[in-house]
Amino acid sequence: MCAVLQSSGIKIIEVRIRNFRSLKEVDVPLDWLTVLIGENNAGKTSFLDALFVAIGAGRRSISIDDIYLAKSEKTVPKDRDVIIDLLIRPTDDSGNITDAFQAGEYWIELYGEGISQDDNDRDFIAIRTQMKWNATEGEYEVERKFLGDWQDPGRLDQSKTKKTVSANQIKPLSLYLLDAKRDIKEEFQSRSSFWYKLISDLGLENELIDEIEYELDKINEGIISGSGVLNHIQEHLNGLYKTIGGDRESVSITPITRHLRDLSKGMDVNYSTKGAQSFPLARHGMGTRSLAAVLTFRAYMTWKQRNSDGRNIHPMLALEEPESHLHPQAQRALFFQIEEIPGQRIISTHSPYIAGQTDVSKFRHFRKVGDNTVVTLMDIAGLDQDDIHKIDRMVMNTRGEIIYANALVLFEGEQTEDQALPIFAEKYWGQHPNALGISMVGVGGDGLYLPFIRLAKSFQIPWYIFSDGENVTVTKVKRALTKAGESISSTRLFIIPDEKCFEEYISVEEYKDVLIDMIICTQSQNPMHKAALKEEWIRKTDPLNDICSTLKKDKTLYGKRIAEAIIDMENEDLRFPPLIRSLFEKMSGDLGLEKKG
Amino acid sequence: MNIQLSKTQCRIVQHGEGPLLVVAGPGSGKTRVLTERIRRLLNEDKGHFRILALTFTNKAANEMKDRLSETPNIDQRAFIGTLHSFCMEVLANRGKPVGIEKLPSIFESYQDRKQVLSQAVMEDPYLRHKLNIILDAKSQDRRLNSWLDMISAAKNNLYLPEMLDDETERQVYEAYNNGLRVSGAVDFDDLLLLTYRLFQERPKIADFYRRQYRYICIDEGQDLNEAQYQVIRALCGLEHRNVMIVGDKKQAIFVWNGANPKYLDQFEQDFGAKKIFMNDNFRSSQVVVNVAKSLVSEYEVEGQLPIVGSIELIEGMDEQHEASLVLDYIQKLLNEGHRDVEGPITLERCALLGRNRYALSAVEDELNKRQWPYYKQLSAQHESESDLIQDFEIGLRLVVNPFDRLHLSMLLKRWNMREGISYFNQRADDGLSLLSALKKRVSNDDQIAVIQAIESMEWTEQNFKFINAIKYLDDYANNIINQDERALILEDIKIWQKHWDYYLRLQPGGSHTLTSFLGQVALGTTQQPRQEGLALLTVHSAKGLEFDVVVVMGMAEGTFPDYRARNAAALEEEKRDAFVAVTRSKRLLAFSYPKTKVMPWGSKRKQNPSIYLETVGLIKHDKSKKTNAS
Repeated sequence: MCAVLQSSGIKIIEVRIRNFRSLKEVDVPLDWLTVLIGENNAGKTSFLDALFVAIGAGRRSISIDDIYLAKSEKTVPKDRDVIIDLLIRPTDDSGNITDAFQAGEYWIELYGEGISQDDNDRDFIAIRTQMKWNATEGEYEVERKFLGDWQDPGRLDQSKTKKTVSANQIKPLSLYLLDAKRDIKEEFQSRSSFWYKLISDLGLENELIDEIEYELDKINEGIISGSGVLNHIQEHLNGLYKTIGGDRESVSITPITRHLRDLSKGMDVNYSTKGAQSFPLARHGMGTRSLAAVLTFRAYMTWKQRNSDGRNIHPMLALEEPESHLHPQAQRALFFQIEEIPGQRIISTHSPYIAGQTDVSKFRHFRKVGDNTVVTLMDIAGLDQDDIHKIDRMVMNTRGEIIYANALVLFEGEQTEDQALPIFAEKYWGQHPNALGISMVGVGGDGLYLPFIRLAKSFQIPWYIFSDGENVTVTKVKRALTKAGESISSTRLFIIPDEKCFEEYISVEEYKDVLIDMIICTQSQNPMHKAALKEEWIRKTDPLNDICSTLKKDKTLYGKRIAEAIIDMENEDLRFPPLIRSLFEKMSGDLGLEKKG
Repeated sequence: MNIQLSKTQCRIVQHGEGPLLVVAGPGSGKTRVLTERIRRLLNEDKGHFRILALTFTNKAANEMKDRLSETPNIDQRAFIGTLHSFCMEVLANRGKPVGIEKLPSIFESYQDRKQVLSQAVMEDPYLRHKLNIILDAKSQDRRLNSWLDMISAAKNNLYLPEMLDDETERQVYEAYNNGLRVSGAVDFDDLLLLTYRLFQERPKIADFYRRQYRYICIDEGQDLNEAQYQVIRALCGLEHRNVMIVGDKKQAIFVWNGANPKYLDQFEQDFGAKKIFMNDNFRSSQVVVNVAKSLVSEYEVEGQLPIVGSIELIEGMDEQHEASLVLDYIQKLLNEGHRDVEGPITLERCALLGRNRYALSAVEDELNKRQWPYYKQLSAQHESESDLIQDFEIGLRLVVNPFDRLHLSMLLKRWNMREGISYFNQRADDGLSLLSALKKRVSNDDQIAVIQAIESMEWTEQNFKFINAIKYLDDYANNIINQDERALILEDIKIWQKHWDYYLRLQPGGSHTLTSFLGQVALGTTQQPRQEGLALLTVHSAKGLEFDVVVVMGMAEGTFPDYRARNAAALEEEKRDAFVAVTRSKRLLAFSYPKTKVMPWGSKRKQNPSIYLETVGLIKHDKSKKTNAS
């Protein structure tokens, strides 16, 4: 669960965007923490920008380049409007959605008639930001209105609009956008930064300010009287009052500023890593500076909340690639820092380390289909809590790689396949499957394929099942497929024939010799022992059966070696057992890979 | 102006939670107390909430808004308006359960409603028969009027058609309602009835408003009728008790229209309300207070101004003479001022009141003759006078509601078109296509101008540019050769321009749709609170206003009290009308009447001074005169 430090009493639960850049038509549910994943250029930044246009803490004008343009079109039709709809619901103190705003709540005063009720009399607020072309002004005009209903996604034009939303009705929802270029150095310099907003009022008592400024005067005097050169300059500048007029004391050099308010402008932060000398943050590397900017924002938000009774600000943060420039270990630690930022956070990330710590229901997967962005999320219908935990664990274990995979190969997760398949794959494509973005995932002994098929389908990852042939196992596989809405004769399914398990499958005449060699090599402790073992094997009446039972007895030990033994065989036809070969052939076709080995 | 509040006023301003009934005599500062309490609650009361302030007239609402305009976010934190506009808002946002999908068209005028009724009756064989068995047209017309009154009364008592005993009445009521709905319209009484039903049938919707409005303030409680009171009760449900009603039984002047001061008592009982009296009169001079006291003996005044004031009686030979003398009286005050009136007296500080609008017709002619600026507020609704702008108005209605059969058939008749409603309905499914279908059939310049003016607004459901239409019509009108016609049109355009300006002011940065604009015009919210020149008002439209100089004209028997007031209750109400009329005056009061009058049929008739002139001591009791008259 993600911490909601202090619930504001509302939650934006859905965003709908029409015609904003590649976002022709996307509907994205939001959570307290929402993680946007997907390839570069898939539309994640556009999504954050669209949100910023709707409720951003700052103005962003829209130009014709921000309007959706289909490939077949040369220019944007002037009647194409951008629409960004937000659906807001009341919540209780712990952030759970409730049916109604309570009397006396800030939001009921703020939105009043802007609040609507659905057919079940549940309160909601829907805000539409619409941008349309104004021919007279020659620019896009932004207009915000409350909606009286939350139509089906296909009927947004039927929405009933109500009153205009005023600026102060948007302000409490302000979205802060920390883009990938954030830098604490800029924060220190910019007057509109969070840093500046925080330190512009230090909240010191007047007496204390007097005291400090008195000390500053003393320090100034000390510097001047101690410095020959400053004395010298001051003497010459006295020419000012001699020529223009004034008192003798009217010219004075202040080596350091005498006013506290000016002093804080030069405020700096020093930071030292273990054992190193402390030096200003602004001269640290980009990773540290970027992180410092995020933390400054957190300080700003929590400070603001603390000073405003907390229930009349709904903090919204859009954070682009929080991992940028950070070491993997630091990326992992970063997640906890993000969790402590109050309010609703929307993060776009390519970091498996960050994704790995998020539960799967929080992912929104962005991808391009033609010119359009399509957003999907994990379909959890029919999954129980265990299934979801299972995926979360797997995401965590694979450090998030599973989410970013180009393909998933699923199997029951016994040691043999787990260890053997990657080796076959590396031989086949000449590259480790990790490098190709292929995740090989053991779903566990119970054949829990369903959550992973769902995951793969939700995020449009091609998936394959490589399964033992025993009846019990096959039944489980087929049940999972049916539940996932797939055909039980799916071409993605590779089942070992003749009701065999993997060990049985390879314990065949063709591999007899290499496997025996491999077993002997593994078991033998010295050359003499090796010879004896050889003898023993020659005498066996049913060597294939014995191979099989040996392999089965110690799967951890043999899994890897089986594969290593087979891939180096001279006869190319034998290097990949037929079922593995056809799996790889199918994957090569789907993913556009080429066989190398 | 920052006069200190009196102790009583302070108690009311400081009142927090719980029901409160304030009995406030004229000039006791009730508007001030209402606004100051709202200001205090918004500034001082902890927590987040809104305030619902319901006034009787839009003028009062606008005045209150003006006074509170400096309170931050006042538009967002308070709804200030009439109960009707509140109901309109509720129905527009939540009306679905009672069949209101979007902002409905409002048929506010009596003529429109009567047209709906007569069409509905004609289309129903049974009702047509019921009407046709009455032979002469005049009686038929009277029957339609009485039916219309019956429907209005039923709605104001929250009766649905099926609750009526009389079969014919039930069918008339039903047919009329269907006629309205077919045109996508509601009438004024529907606003209350539908809101009441909504709150009753969907308690959660009422609950939403209770959660939103922590405090409810209601002005002019003596003029509530059954429907209004029940809407308020349904809104409050069992739990909401932070309701303050301000009222004064002595000023109840709408009993003839279904209102009843008894709701003040009912409120006190139903809500268990605390009661505070405001018996000071810091508005009127001593003379005015004394006149008011002599009219209503139970009128008690505690605090009073140390200003004497003056009272005059102006007797004209006939109405023209009366008008001329009244204006002479005003002229003298304009020239010389008065010791009891601070500063120079201007026309804006004076008002001429009449029991009905006809009592003011002669003086209107005289004003025109003397070319004095004046304005009239003789009926609640606005009416355009020129044909062109009337057509334009109908056109506007049709753009937003092309299913408005009533106004479509009106327009077709006005434009002498051969095609019927169905011809156009087949060719148009939205406002703009209806307009272009009409355009293909028109020939005359005026008609084309009307349509092109509307088209120039670039109307959409969400947006429109009213100012384009105004400009277009203005240009067009300036090229009309007939001077009278041109003047009339330009005058109408000016009024619409004012409506528009006022509408924009009411909804700053708000959603400006044509539907909501027309709705606000119909509700009267765009009426200007004060205008330039001398005010000509009926007693009923003068409610809530005050002037330094007030002349009540036409103070003759039969006019004031009205000849139709025969029973004791009606006569009591006439007396309260007189009470309200005189208490509009802050300083100087005058009565006038004509000794003779030309009746509508041309003959001259002697007029006797009103009984009230005797009551207030301006005329001695004279037996011989009385016998002469009878």
